[in-house]
Amino acid sequence: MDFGQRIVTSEFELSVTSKMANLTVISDFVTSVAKELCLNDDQTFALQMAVDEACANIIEHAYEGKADGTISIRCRIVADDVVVTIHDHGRVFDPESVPRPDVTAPLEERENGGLGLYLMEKLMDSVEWDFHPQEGNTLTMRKRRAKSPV
Amino acid sequence: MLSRPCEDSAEIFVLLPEGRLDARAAPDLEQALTALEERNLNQIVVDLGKSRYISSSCLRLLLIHLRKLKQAGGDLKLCSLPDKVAKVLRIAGLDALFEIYPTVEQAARAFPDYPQEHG
Repeated sequence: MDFGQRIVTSEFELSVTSKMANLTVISDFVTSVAKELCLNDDQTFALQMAVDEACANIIEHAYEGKADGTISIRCRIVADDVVVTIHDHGRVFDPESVPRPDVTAPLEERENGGLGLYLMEKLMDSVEWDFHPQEGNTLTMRKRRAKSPV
Repeated sequence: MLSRPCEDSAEIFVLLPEGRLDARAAPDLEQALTALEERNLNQIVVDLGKSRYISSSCLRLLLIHLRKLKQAGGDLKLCSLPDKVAKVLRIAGLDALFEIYPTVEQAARAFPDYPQEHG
């Protein structure tokens, strides 16, 4: 065992109520985390957008607009990934039941909905939901982090 | 949300949303677009120059109103997109559905009601 090795763990947490106004607070939190983790512009953009879409969905659909729910966001580094987990105690939904839009469809055939989930899945390297009746809902999203320049 | 008639044609209206166009901003955007449509103004330019972020909720609204305005014989054109907003539209495949221009003037000129002498 190398006792001389310094282990640095980066973990960041934010807990807010389910108000639309808190989307700005969440965005500021993600910006700070991205800076701390030295993410590049593309990774920061992906993280910002995916977390915003996820939290807007939780407020609008899981908590159905009720402002007293809790949203807990945790960001950490696991191996080469930035891992974001978002936890809520709102209504369960089936992500598979939401059709993703065909982004190549012409205007007449283009679906209006499903774009938020589509963007999350497109921007992140993985997006997984876990629904638990007692413990609540957990969304885990991963984004690969660029290697540090040598 | 600020809106104003185009300098050279009162038939063309410019909408100027500012800041983050997230889910919280969606009701304001909806209200502004609906208010113009209720006045039978169906040639609208949305100037996104001061919008540093756009979420799916606002993109969805723009798409719904684009369809509505086109059905009414009008159009909804976008202009002055910041890089990140342009990127979202591209990923969402919406850059193929909207006419997008670098400036308000260029967007306005693309409407049939823009005065010919200025064209």
